[in-house]
Amino acid sequence: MENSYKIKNGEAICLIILLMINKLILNVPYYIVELVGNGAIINILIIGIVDFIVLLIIVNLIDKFESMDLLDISGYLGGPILKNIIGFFNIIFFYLVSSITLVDFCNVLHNIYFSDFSIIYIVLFFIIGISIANFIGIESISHHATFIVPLIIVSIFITFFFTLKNLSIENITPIFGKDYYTTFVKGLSNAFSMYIIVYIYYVKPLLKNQEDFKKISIISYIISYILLASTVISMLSLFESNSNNIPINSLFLLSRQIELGDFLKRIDSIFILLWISASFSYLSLIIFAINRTIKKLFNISNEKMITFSSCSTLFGLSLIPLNVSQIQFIENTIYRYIVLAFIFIIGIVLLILANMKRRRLLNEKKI
Amino acid sequence: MIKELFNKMFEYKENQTYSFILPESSNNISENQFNKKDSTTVFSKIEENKKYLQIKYNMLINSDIKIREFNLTFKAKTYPAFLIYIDGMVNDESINNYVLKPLFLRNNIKMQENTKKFQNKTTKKIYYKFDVENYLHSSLIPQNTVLKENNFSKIVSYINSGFCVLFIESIKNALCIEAKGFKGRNVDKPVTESVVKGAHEGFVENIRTNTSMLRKIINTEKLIIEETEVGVLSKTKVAICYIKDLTNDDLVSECKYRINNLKLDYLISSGQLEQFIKDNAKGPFPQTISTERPDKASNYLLLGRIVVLINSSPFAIILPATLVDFLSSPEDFNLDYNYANFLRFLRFIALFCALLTPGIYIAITTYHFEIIPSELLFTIIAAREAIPFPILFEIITMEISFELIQEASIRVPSSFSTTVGIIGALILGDAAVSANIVSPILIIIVAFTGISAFAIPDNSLRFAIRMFRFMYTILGYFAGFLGIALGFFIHLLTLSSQYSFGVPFFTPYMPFDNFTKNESLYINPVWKREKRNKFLNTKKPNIEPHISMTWRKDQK
Amino acid sequence: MKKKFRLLTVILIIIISIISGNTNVNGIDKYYFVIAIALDKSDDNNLLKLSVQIPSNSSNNSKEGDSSQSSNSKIYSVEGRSINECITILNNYLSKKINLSHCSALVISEELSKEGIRSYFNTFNNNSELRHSCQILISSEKALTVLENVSTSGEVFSSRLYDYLTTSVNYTAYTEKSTFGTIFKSLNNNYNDLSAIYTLVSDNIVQTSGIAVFKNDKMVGVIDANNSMSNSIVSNTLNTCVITINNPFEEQSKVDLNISLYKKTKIDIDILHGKPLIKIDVFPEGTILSSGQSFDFTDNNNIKKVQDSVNLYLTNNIKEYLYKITKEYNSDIVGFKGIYKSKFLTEKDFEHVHWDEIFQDSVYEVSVNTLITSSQLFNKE
Repeated sequence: MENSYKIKNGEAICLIILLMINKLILNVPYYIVELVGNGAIINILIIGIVDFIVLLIIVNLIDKFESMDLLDISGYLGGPILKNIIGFFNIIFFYLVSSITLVDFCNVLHNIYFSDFSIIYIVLFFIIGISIANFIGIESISHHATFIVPLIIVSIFITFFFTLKNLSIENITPIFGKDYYTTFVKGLSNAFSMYIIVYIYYVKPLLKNQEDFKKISIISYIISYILLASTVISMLSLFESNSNNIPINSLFLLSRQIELGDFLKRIDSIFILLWISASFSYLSLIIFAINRTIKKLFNISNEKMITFSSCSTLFGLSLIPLNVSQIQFIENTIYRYIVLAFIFIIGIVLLILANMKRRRLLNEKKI
Repeated sequence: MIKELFNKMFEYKENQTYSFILPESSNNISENQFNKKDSTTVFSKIEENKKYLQIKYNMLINSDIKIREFNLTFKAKTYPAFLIYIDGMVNDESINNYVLKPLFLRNNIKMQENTKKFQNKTTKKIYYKFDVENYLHSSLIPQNTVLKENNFSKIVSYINSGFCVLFIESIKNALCIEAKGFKGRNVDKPVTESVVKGAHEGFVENIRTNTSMLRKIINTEKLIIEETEVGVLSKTKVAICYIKDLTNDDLVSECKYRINNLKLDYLISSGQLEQFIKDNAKGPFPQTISTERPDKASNYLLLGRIVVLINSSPFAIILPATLVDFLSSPEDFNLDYNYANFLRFLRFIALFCALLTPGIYIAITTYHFEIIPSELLFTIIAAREAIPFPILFEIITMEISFELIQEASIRVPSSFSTTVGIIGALILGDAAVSANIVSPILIIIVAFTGISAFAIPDNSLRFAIRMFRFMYTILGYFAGFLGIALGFFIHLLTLSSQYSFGVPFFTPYMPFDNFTKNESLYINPVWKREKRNKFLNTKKPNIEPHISMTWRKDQK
Repeated sequence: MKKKFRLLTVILIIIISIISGNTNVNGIDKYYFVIAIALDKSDDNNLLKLSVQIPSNSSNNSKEGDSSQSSNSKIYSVEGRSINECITILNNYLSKKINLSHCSALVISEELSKEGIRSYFNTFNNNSELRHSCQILISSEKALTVLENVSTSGEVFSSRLYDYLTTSVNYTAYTEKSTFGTIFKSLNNNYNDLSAIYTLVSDNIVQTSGIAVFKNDKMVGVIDANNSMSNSIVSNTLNTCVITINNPFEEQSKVDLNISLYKKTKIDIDILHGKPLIKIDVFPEGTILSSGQSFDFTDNNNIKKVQDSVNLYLTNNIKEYLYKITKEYNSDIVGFKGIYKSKFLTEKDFEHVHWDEIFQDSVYEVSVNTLITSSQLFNKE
C-alpha cells in the first residue's frame, strides 16, 4: 500500500526549513564561526554560492527521473545491491543525526531548566512525542510544520534584530578573518551547514505537484540560507573568534541577549517553548524518513507498524553515555564530513552515473 | 504464545479510517446563469404551470412545498385548479376557511344576472360573458390582499414570502392570496447565543416552523429543504437544507449519505445526530457548528454550507466547520469590521489563555522562575508563604471547585443560582484565601482562566478547552515547558488530522496551500467580502462583484 | 490486542519515569532568590568571602492580608575556596537552594579585583542562571558594605534596589553602564579591556563614582567621576551630562551647560614612526543652564566665547583621561585596537603591528567642536 498522503508545496518548504532550523538552534552557526572567525561573512557568502550551484546540479539531475528519490535511482543504477548499501548508509546517517540531536537538545534542556531531572526522563518525553506523531502520520506532521515554522522564523528574526545593536565594526573586521587560507580553503568544509540538500534527494516522490520540485527546493534553500546567515551574523556580535566560551546552544545564547524594556526580561523562555516544538517535529520527521527507507528496502506494507521499533532504537541510541567532547567531535567532525561526502561525492556521482545509464538506454531504444 | 503475540503485534492491519476529502466542484455556475431574470408568464394550460413550478421548486426532493389540486365548477364547466404554498409559512386556518371553503362550497354558482334599465323603460336582459377571474377576485375570496399576477418570477417571490397562489385552467393570471402565519410555539430569544446587535429570534422544537424561519430570511426558490427519517422506532424527521446552484454537490451527497445510513432505533436531539455524523468519532473537539439562531444558519447557508434541522430540537447543525467558525460570533458580520476584528482577536487570545494559563503558571513557578520579572516573583513567593499545600494540589483543587460552581449553577433551578454564585464567590474566593488554603494569586489565575473560557462563543469548543486545561496543568507540573510543548505538539497533530466533512479543522492555517484572506480569522470590510470560502469549493465562488458599492462609482 | 498493546506501553512509560526518580519536584518554595552577590577576600586567610542578599518576606504581615513584598532583606556571608563551594555551604546553612536567576547586582571588592576576576566570571557564566543584564559593581571598601547600605536608597521593592545605579548614568555620566554581558564579552575578546562601575560607600550611602579600569582581568586603577564623562564621550555612550566651566566674562562666576553629542565621535588611527597617532574629533552640543547673569547669550560673539571655553575645558578633560588610561594604566578600555584592526584584511596582517607593545606610546590629537544651540534661560541676561 503506497502512502496516500502527498505533501503540498507550502508544506514541503516548511518541512525543509524545519530541518534547517533545528541545526541552527543547536551548534551549527557556532561551528562556522569557530572555524573561520571574523571571516564568517565572506565565508558564508562563498558557501551559499557553492551550495546553490550544487543544489541546481542535483535538482536538474533528479528532475529527469519521474518520482524517484536517491534510493530508487541507486536501485535503477546498480540493482538491489547498491540500493541496499545506500539504504543502510541512509539509515545509519539518519540515526546518527537524530540521536545526536536528541542527546544534544536534552543536554541543553537539562543544563538550563531541568537540572533535577535525569536525562532519561527528558529523552522519554521526546520519544513519546515522536512515536505518537508517527502513528498519526506524515500528514499531521507536515500540517504542524506549516504552523510552527513561520513562528520560529519570526523568533529567529527577532533575535537577529535585537542582537544587531551589539554588532560593532570590531566584531566583523578584519573582513577576511584569520587568514586567506582559512577563510577560502579550510572554510569550504563549512558547506555542510546547508545540509538540507541531503534531504532534497528524498523529497520528490512525496510531493503532490512533482513539477514544482525545482521551485520548492530553490525557495526552501533560499529561506534556510537567509536564516543561517542572520544567525551567523548575530553570532558574530556575541562571540569573538578567539574566545574560549563553551557554547550551550547558539540561538539560545543569542536570545538571552534580547532586552525588551523592563517587563519582558527573558523572552528566550518563550522561544524555548517554540524550539522544543520544533525539535519534536524534526525528530518525528527523521523517524518518518527512517521508516520510509526501511519500508522501501524490505517492502513493508505499512510503515506505521515499525514506528514503535524505530523509536525504541532511537531511545536506546540516545542513552549511550557521551560526554561533551565526544558529542562535539561527532557533530563537528564526523557529521561534517559525512554530510560533505553525501552531498558532493555519493549523491552527485550516483546521479551522474544514473543519468548516463538512462541516456544510453534511451539511445539504444532509438536505435 | 509469544510468537503469536509478536505476530499479532506486527501483522499488517488495514487502515480502517473513513476518509472523505471535499473535491472541487465540477459544475460551476456562471454569474449570468445564476442571475438570469425569469420573464416567463403564466401559461394557459394548468399542467404546464404545475410542471414549471415543480421544476422551479425541485419538488421531488423539496419537502415543504405543498400543492393542493382540485376542481372548480362554474356554469357547469369544470376548471381544474391548484393551490401552491409553503408549509409552515402560511396559516392553515386561513387557507382552509377563507380560501378553500368558499371555493368548494359556492362551487355550483348560477349564472349571474345583471339588469339594466334603459330610458325608454324597456327592460333588457343582458348576459355578460362570465369572467371567472374577476368573479373569484371580487366575490369568492374574502381575503384582504389578493393580487393578480402573470409573471412567474414575481409569483415565486410571493410564494416564498408566505402567500398561497391559485392557478386555474385557461386563466393567464395567478391569484396570489395572502395567508401568512406561523404555527408552533412562539418564537423566543435564543438562550445560548445572545448578541447585542442582531436578530433576537431562535429556533423552536417544530421543524416546520424552523424551515419557515429559514425561508423567511432566504427569499429564494433555490433553497432546498430535503426531509428524511432517521430511527426505526422514532422516525424522527431530519431536514437537510442547502442552496441549489451554490453548495458543492459532493458535500450534499456526502451529508445525505451519512444521514441516510444510520441504523438506530431512535434519535431525539441534534446533539445525538451531531455525534453520529462527525468524521472523527473520538475527537473531543467539535466538528460541526450547533446553533439556535436562524440568522446564523441562513448566513452560513448563503455561504454555501449545509444546515441540518431535526424535529423536536431547537438546535440546527451547520456543516462543515472550522476553528475560525467556532471563534466567530453571529454578531461579527453585523459589526463594523474594526470592532469585529478586535473581538475576534480577543477571542483568539482567550482560547490560548483558557487552555494554557494554569499550565504555564505551574510551569513557571516550578521550573522557569526566571521568565517573570523579579518584582512579580517575590510577590508570588510572599503570597505562597503560608500555604501548606504543593502548588499542583492547590491549583487542581481550585480548578475543580470552579468547575463545580459552574456545573451546579446550570443544573440548579434558576432561583437558587444566585445562592450558588454567592457561595462560590465567598467561600471559594475570600474565605479560602484568608484561611491560607490558597494564595490570592491563584484566585486571579483561576478567575482569569474562567473568564477567558466564557469568552469563547461556541459551547462545545468551550467544553473541550475546559477539559484539556487539566491535562496541560499536569504536564506543566511534571515537565514544565517541555511537558506543555509535548502536549501542544500532540494536540496540534491530532487536531490537524481532524476533518469536518472533508474540510481540515485548521483551515486555512494548517494546510498552507488553501490560504486566502476570506476565511482567516481577520475579516475583511463588507465591501471586500467578495468570495465564498475557498475550502467549500462552492459552485459560485463570488458573493459580490469587484465593486459592490456602485453608488460610489456613479457619483464620479 | 490493541488495548493490551496500549496498556503495555503506558505501564512501560510509568515504570521508566518512576525509575528515573522524578517523583518529587522542587517548586518555587524550595528556593531562595538572591538579589545581589558580594565577593570579598576574607580577613585572615586566603579564602573567598561570598555574601548574598535575600529579600525577607513579610511573614508576620501576611495574616493581616498584606502579602506584598517589602524592601527588607537579609544578608548571609560564608567563606570558602571557590564560589561554588560557598554556594554549597550556603545551601546547607539555609536549607533551601540558592537561585541566581533574579540577581540584579554582583559586587566585587577592589582588593579582590586587583588579583584578577576571570575565574569568577567563568564560574558565573557556566551557571546559566545568572542573567547577562546583571550589573557589576567594584566597591572601594568591602563589597559586603555595599549590600548592607544599599537599602537606604528608599526603594519599595527589594528587587529594584540596584536599579538607580545605572539609571543615574543617563543624566550624570559619572560612571558607565557595565553589565555581566558586556564585561564577559570584553574579558573574552582581544580588542578592548574591560571597565566596570566603581562605587563608594560614605555615610551609609552607596554612590557610583567613576570607572574601575582593568588591564586583562586585573584592576589597575580608577577614573574619577569627572573624567568618566570623557570616557562616555570617546566611546560614544554619552546620553547627557552637566558641566561647569569658568565664566569667560566674569572671573568669579561659573556657567553651567548641558552637554550631549550631536554627531558620533570620530576616531582615526595611524601608525607614525612606530607610535600610534590617534585623532579624536568630538562634536558636543550644549545648552546653557545658568549664566550667572553676566552676559547676553543672544549675542553671537558671546556665544562664540562660551564655545571656545567649552572646547578648552573638554579638550583638557579628554586629554587628561586619555593620559590616565594610556600612560598610567596602559589599558585600552575604549577599544582603539579594534578600530585599528578594522583597517586590515586579515588577522595575520594585524599581528605584525604588535599593538599591545606600542599602545603605551600613543600620541593623541583631540579636537572639540562645540555647538551651543540654545539656552534654557528665560531672562535675556
